[in-house]
Amino acid sequence: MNTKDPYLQSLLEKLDSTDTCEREHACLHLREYAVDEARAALAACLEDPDKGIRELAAESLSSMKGHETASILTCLLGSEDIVTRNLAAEILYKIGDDSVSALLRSLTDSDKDTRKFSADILSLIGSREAVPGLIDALQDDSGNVVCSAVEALGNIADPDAVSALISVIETNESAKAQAAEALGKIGDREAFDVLVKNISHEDCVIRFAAIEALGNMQSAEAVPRLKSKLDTADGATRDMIYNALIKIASKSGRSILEDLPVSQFRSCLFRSLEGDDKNSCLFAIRELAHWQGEDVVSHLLSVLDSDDEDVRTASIEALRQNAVSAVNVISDALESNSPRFLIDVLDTISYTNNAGFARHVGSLSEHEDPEVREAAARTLGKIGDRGSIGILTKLATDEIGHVRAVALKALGWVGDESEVDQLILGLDDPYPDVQEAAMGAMVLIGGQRVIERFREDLVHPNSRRQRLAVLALGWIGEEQVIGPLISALEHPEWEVRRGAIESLARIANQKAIEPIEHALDDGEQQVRKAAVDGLVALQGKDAGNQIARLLDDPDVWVRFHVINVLGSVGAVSATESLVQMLNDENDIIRVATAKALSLLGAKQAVPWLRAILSDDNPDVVDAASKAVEEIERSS
Amino acid sequence: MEINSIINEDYTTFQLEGRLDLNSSSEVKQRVKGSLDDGAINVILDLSNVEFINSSGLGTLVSILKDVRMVQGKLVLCCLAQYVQEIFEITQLSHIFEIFQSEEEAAASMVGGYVNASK
Repeated sequence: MNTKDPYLQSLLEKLDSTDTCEREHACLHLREYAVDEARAALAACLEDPDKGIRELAAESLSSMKGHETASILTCLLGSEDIVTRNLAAEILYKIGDDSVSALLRSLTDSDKDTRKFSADILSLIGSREAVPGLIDALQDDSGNVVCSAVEALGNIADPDAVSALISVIETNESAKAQAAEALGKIGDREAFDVLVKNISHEDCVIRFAAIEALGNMQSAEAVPRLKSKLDTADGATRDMIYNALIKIASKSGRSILEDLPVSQFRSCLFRSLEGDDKNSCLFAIRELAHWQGEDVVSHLLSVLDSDDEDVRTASIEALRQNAVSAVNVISDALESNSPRFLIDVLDTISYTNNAGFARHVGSLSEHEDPEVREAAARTLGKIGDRGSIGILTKLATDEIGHVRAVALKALGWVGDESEVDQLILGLDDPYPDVQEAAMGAMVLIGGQRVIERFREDLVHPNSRRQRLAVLALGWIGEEQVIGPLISALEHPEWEVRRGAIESLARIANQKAIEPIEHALDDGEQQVRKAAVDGLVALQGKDAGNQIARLLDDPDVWVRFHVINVLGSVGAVSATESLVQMLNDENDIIRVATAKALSLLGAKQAVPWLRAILSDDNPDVVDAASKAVEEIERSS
Repeated sequence: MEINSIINEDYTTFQLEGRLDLNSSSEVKQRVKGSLDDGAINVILDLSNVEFINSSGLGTLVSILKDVRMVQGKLVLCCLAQYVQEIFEITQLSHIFEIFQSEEEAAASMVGGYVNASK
């Protein structure tokens, strides 16, 4: 009698269909059945002539996971069909830890290829659970299996394997190099002597592996042993030793390298830039940052287009330090076709402050990529050479707003009053960023012409220009802007009036006190609040009595602001006025007042604070209660 | 403006206090220039107690930067108050000055590297 789930049965039958769609459907849905029959059927599909079916079966098996799936798949590792075998290996790797026990069993399979592939997959999975089985596999009759087991033990890097690997080095000539490499990855001190012994091995493959292993171990203990071989070693071995020393230095510090011959050491640093070891590469970059010369700069430029962000950043940093030693090399690099590379080189140049680059940088002012033109403008600004003014002026009319903005900023850094006309044009630019850049540059240059321009702009038809002007006058901050700013307190735009108060407060000239006091009566509440802040900025708590008159302000937020300011500046003289505010009809005013009185430590306010402990609003009661507590505690 | 200078082995720190404007600018510039003439190369300007700075003050800082560059030295600023930071943003001067949060960081930037250029 057939006891199978009918749907499972139909899926299994569909796998025999000649219709690919039916087989696909079956492969997709069999994954829902965690039974051996489904697993075996899917495993068989790995040999399907249709690639899509094979991949779908592999996907289903990967999703099923489990020891049972792994057991079935290990049977396919001995398949003569390479596609099937590789698919099985890939799924076993994806299944991960659940595959380990099945793979360990396969390590003793009668088929040597199955044993080798099992060791390879265990190497990729990297589970320590596999170590004893892999150690046993070191005795395998097949040299390939032994090599795979050695490599797997190196990748798993379990110190428990060290003794067995040392034994391989000492007894198995064909796996000696792999064993040395594996011991280098494990990095255990126990392997040190056997590795040192092999750095003079007659077979260069073994010799190189031992030297590389000592480098990978990054133990400073190996340094004298490695250095002692430098005099007698051939060129290739010396290079290996240098590379190993650089790896060790990347962990132990550069001092171990100080007594090495310069030319070869430099060559090895260059080679480390090209190698696969990221730490050695970064070490070499940082080391080369302190060397000078065209060859150093050329090599550092060669890693500037690395895909690794750390390497790129380190090379930019290094080039910043020594670019000036190779103006020609750096300038030649500006002929690159890569915008990103060019921007990095420009960034490097901008830190040199060297006018020698200006002409070459200027040649990029017509580059097709606007980001390059922008970087060129920024770099010219940072270099600060007045010879670049013409190019910056041209870039200030670039078709791209960002470029214009940066060029105007740069004109501010490099230029003087001769550039003011160009900057004024920037104020008329349609882009706010460009207008602000022009304003910033004009503030930086300053002078009578700039002040006059902003003074005129206070009545400019465009209100944004008026606001920029009043801000700019504040930043310029000279005596002669006080008058125009005081006049601006009568400006019809409230934002200009507010800006004028902020600017006057910033300049902190006593002439501004009286006009700002008048602004306490301004029709716009934002201006009245700014006047409160301005008077406090100019007079501190002495402004208390002046601003306290706004406690009667019809706008609740003005009253709220004044109360907070009085409390925070410690305007004790305003206590009596503040106490009256405890009776304000607005809850937030009563709360703010209680807090302000608390900040002032106003003992005389305590009876009034107690009086509102029966307030209808719990927030008011809470604030009053805390204020009483705080005042009594501090007295 | 109060100007206090502290000479270290690798750099000279100038602690400025007060308003850096037209009135005080020339004094600051002369003090730093005098120090460069006496052999100083690297300069830290500690602005923690600068309560006001305007166009003239900024222009002076840029001018000092050029003087320091002339002697192949390094100028860094530290401890900018909020107000001073704002004007540095407006003028984008933060792009051309090296600025540090604390004097310790500024000092570290002066002595951080080793020079092995002769190799």
